Amino acid sequence: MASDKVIGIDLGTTNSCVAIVEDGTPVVIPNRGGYKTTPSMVAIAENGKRLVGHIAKRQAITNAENTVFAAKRLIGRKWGSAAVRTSLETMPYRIVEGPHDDVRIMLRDQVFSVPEISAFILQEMKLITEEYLGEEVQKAVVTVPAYFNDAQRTATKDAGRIAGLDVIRIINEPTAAALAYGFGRNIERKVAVYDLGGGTFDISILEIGNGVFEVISTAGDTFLGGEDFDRRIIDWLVFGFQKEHKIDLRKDKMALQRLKDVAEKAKCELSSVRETEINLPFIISTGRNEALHLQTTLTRDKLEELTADLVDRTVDICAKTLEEAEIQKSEIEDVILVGGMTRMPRVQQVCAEFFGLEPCKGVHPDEVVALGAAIQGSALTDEKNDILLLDVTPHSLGIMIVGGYFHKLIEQNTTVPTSKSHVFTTVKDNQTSVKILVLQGESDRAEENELLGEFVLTGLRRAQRGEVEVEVTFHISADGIVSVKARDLETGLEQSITVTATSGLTEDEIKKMIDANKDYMIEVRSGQEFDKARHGAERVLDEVETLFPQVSEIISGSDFGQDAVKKARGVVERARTAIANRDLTSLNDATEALSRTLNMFRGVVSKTRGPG
Amino acid sequence: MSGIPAEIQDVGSTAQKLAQNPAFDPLRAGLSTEDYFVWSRFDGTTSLKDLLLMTGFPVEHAIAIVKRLRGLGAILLPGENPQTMAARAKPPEAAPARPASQPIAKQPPRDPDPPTVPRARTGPIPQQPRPPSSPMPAQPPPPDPPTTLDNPTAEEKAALAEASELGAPERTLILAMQRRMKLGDPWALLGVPRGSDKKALKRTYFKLSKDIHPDRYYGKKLGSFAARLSEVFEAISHAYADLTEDKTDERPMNVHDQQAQTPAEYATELFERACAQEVAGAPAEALKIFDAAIRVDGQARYLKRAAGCALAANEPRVAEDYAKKAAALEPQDPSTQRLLARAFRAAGKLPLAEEVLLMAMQIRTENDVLAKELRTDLAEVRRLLARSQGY
Repeated sequence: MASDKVIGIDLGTTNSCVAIVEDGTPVVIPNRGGYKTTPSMVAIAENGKRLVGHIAKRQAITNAENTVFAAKRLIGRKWGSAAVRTSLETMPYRIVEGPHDDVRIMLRDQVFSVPEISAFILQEMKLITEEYLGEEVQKAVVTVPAYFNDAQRTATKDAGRIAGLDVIRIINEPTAAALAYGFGRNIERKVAVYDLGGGTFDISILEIGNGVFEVISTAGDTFLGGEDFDRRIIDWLVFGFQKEHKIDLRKDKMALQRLKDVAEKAKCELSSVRETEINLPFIISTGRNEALHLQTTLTRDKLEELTADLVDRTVDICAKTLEEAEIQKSEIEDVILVGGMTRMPRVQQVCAEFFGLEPCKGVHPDEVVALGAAIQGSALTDEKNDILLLDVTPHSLGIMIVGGYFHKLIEQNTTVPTSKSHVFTTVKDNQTSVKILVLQGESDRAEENELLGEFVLTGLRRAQRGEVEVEVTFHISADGIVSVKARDLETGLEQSITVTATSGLTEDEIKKMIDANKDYMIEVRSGQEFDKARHGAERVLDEVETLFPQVSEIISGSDFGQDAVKKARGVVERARTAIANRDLTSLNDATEALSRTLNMFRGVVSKTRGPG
Repeated sequence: MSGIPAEIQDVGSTAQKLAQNPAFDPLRAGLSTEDYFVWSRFDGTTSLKDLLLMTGFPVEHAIAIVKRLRGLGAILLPGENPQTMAARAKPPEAAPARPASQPIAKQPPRDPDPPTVPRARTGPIPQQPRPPSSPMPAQPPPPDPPTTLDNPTAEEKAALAEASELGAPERTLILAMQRRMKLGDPWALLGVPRGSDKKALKRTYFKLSKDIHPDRYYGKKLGSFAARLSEVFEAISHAYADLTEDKTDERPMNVHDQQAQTPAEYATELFERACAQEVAGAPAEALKIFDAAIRVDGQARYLKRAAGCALAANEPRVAEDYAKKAAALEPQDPSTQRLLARAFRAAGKLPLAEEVLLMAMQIRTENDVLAKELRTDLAEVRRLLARSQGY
């Protein structure tokens, strides 16, 4: 029953998109409403119902405190991080500390982990696909920003699991874009992918040739995206209003939500027009119950001024990435723009100026990532697709050595799979065990890098310090799974672990969430099934009720006839009750009985029509 | 023009939701990339007004495209169907003359995106000179990977016979590559003539990767070949990286090398020696050598490491000096600022440490762990300050 097909999901900060490769062509799957992207929003309505996507977005203003957006900025983050602090200040929904130094979100009286919230969105994308294909899907490739660390990637995979998806690979968004750009084309060139989305900025340099896509270098900033551009507009509006009315609109959650909506709209409009009106009547009421209005005009020039440093920052990151990759600007033959923010004229202009060529506009900035993810899914599972992605590890890996320093074993941007070994020695006389702390990051100090895991190698020979040698080997699989082995070179004794960062959820918690969601999935599915059954039943009911008076007249003459009519009435009652109770099983039974009734009715009516 | 008009000539009200005409063939109509892109936005549920705002083109330009699409019969008004369109469609116009733009080249049916064709620049963009990109290799194609395995050993025979979903040709290839690995010669491993240029190396690497990368056999039960594949791929990947690395900043491998060392190389050597001393538990010795390295090359990395070493050697003033210099070079790096705060703390300058930490926490960083460490440090400093201010 379940399909072997792999879907590609772009789980975006603001919008998500799902695609699949159909008969060798990657296509975006539209939802029932015909939309090719779905807002990454989740809400709990007043009646406790969970809303996801467009519906959630539509009620975001009136239900601001219980509507989550931009969860991607929180996924895999620790409670003390800057991202969480910023979100605490600006988000209308409640963010609270979780039990493992992680982040939880409170909606009405329920507490959710961030992977759970993302899981609801992934589930929605899964349902969209299943409706389109008419079959179940279980496998997916999900994309993340290039700069996501291990905790953020693991949390994303957990979200997939909770949603009932086997995430067979996590790939970076700019890489996915390059796959979609190069798919089906016989090209050999170096390209840059400039991805400015809702929440993050990523730049990747890739080399394409003979159907092979090699990532050379990748970097980014997870604090730089469309939301930041929105915030500049909001701040400008708030500041102006404050000057005039001495009220800080940000303190009112409804006002803030409306500001957010209007800022995003204005930003988008200014990509096509030179100025736009911002109109917020009744934005807030003063202490004396007087309503205040906000009305102003925002020009494109002003917007560019407000966001100039954000755009400049992207260029700085591009320059640094090229430098680290030791690639000249002139070697880049195409610049691929990804993400809604790349529609902004100033962004396009700055990009063109930096790279010295017109960016490629042949790809759809909102869909290309999902398409690329679908292509990778197909490349892994379909024999006929021989595209190969040579991906890299986005952060350096290493261990802690004496002095608290971080010794890198595998450098950032190394192609995977990869292995690296290094021989270390003991630091104390008669040291019989050595602790291996596996870390990920770029800082010199071990404690400033992310701890992925730890283990101990014991049974070392007692000797003077520096005499016993331990070989540590790191291995990263094509899947991005890190395993570390430590071997006593003398005894050959070995110890190893496969490391994964924790996403802030324990295995038990994840299992509980998967189960809770399985129930929800069944409920939703039978919802769809129920509607189908209901339509079928109602059609039969219509015909039965149309014929009822005629049949009644014809057969009520006899006792048996009267009983038959009574029975028929009972069947109709049962069907109507089953529909009212949304009871699928009873409805199926009643529909069977209804069909028999209809057969009988048709028979009765046609008999009397008879010849003549 | 600062707004979307309510009506467009020949199209009607912009409140309407237009859809694509399924009977329209964009490839034969000679649409440009821009036309195609706008046409692809019509989905029957977006109003024309919204659509015009979504394309990212200036409004006048988008409207012109919409008019053209309408004229070609590419889009349908609500209520229209392909039959009514066929009746009123004009024959496809020749694409209007636009500088340096070309109609879509013939593509195989499964290619959804038109190729990037050289486009007219919309403004004075300084164009960097670029080497011509060759769509087809001008050089001879890369050599084929090995396909035979002469005189297989017992181990190889066992591998060829074992239960695995891998076919015989693939197994032979992998075993042959493992043989090549034993030669210890990256050129032979990749199978290219010694001294081949970067382009030839890349082509070979890419071609080999296609047969050797584990993803090629994803989901298959490979037996012993899973590890073999990984091993072989890593070998060719390293070989490619080594052979294509820029040689200009490579340190001399041999300390007795006759070539003169550049200052940077000398500083690196000193730095490594200093690190070794520090790690071996002789920070005072290390400090002297760090000092020498910094005198040659005062880069932030050396300064930071020296500061750390100075702290370990109980020389707070020296640490402060190095840390200040490093912080000046990297004002936006919270890690460096943190180090400076540690130095101030060691020197007993708690208020300064607090100040530096508070400012460092305002710098946005990817690194959650570092952010947490800063907060921990700050709490500690504040605790010490409260104590020292005494009661």
